[in-house]
Amino acid sequence: MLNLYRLKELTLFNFCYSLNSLKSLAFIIPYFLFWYLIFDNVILLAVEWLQSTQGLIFVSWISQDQELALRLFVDRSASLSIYLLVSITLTPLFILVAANNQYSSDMTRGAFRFLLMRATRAEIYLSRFIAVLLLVLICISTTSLWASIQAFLNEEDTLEAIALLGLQTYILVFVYSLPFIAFMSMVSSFARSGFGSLFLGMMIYIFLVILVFWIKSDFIHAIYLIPSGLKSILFDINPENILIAISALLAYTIFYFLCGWYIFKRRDI
Amino acid sequence: MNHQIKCESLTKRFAGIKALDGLDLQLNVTQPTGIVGPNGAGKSTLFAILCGFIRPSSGRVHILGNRPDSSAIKGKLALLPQDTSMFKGVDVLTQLKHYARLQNFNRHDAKKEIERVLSLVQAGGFANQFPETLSFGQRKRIMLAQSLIGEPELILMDEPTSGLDPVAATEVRNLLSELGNRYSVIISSHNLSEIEDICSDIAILNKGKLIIHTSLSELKRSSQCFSLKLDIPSDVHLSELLQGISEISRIENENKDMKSWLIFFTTGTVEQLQIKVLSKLGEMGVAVSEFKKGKALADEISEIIKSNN
Repeated sequence: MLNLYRLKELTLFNFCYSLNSLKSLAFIIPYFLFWYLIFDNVILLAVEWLQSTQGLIFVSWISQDQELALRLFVDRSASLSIYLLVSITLTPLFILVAANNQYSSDMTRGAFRFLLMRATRAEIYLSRFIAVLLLVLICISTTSLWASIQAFLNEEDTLEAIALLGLQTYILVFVYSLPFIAFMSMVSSFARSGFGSLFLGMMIYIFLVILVFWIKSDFIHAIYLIPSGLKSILFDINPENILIAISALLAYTIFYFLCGWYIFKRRDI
Repeated sequence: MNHQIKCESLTKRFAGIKALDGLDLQLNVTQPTGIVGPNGAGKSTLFAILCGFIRPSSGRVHILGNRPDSSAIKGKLALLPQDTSMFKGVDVLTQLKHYARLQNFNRHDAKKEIERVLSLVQAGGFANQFPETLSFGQRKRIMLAQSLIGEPELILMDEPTSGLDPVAATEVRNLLSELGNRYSVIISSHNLSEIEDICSDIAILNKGKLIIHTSLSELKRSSQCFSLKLDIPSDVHLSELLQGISEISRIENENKDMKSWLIFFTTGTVEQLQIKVLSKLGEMGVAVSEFKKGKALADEISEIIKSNN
């Protein structure tokens, strides 16, 4: 069903095409500008403050877990922990922008017709997903590396410790972004325009978040209806819990991806 | 026998309306074939199903021996869409190379192939432009060029000259006539003179059903009539002038203008009868500007459709 040569060709074209598009610029420019501001101005002050007693009390109060606060900002590199916290918090927002309109406008305008004469729907669907994945991967790799360099320059940890923690942080941020990319694949396979796909994606996500918070007092596990429910586990130091969180995130990704494929396969082009 | 196109009881409904209604069609495109029919006959829906853009509601369809979504036919079937946008912000050459690469051309051969198809459609001059900067006619040529990449086994062309100015339409039509000799081509068009010029076979659709699939010459032969046009309108009905010819069954003044006439006959050798009619009119001093076996294709088709309604 999948021709790997065509898949590679489509992915490369889609990746280059997406770099040219307004949608990617709307993601790339704010993303790097945001991290530039964080790394250049905020992170040093934040590290200093979070390692102070006041800061630890504040984080303990926010997370309702003093041990977690100590683990994140005293035992581990505070810079990388801040990077992890901010990344995970803002991932839904950035990814909804980066991964919107994977299919919508090209499907509506008919540009897919030329591709469909030469490739299968499965190849087109998968290649668009991989192209966005590559874009997100490159951006997250860059900022993770940047955060690790900041940690190495400003903190006293060894290079090995920073490299290991940097890699772990990078993997967590990337894996956490996967279900959101797949979620936008699903939304954009039924939306009719690029803007419609972004708007619908945000509306559906906000609706799900509100729904979860509304019903979670009656049903505590409702929090796991959305990937954000796993956020707190990702900050855990226990590798077993982290592995469970990663597996769950991959399960969300597969679920959204398959829902999107089901819609895309049936949609008129 | 393996048919290039095989549809069995093919039905497609859009919001309860049947665009195709149990269509049975078997085509082997050895000669350029035209698909005609009034608006809503199901021509574009048929093309969309054959290309895998939409799924049939019921029935079976095979194209080049496979299902439309099969990986095996990718690159073997080509489409010239009526009006479809290409990718914005990517120049024509890059897009065409991408299509060629998807059809298994390596980088070097893809470049050569694109040069070939662009020169075939005389569009080499705007290869480096973005599609959104091209005129409709230029875009049409580019779309035609993409349909020729890799010498496909079958090309479907949906209204190939619609929206073009007369000069561009004539150029494209001449090009299609030439391509029709080299490729298996199916043309869906409202322009019947175009179908008459390019195609040898014709399939008529109406209300989502196939009415007839035959050769154009056969269609005309079956009509048992001549159509003729006079230089100047006749003062009297032609039946008075041609009453001595026994094979003629009736004569109709086509547009009530005393200039365009249809002469129906029952038996006899067509060529001899043609000579008889023309000599008789000559004797009467009536100048004929146009004389054809059969009716105009439009009349022929509209009569067939009417009789099937």
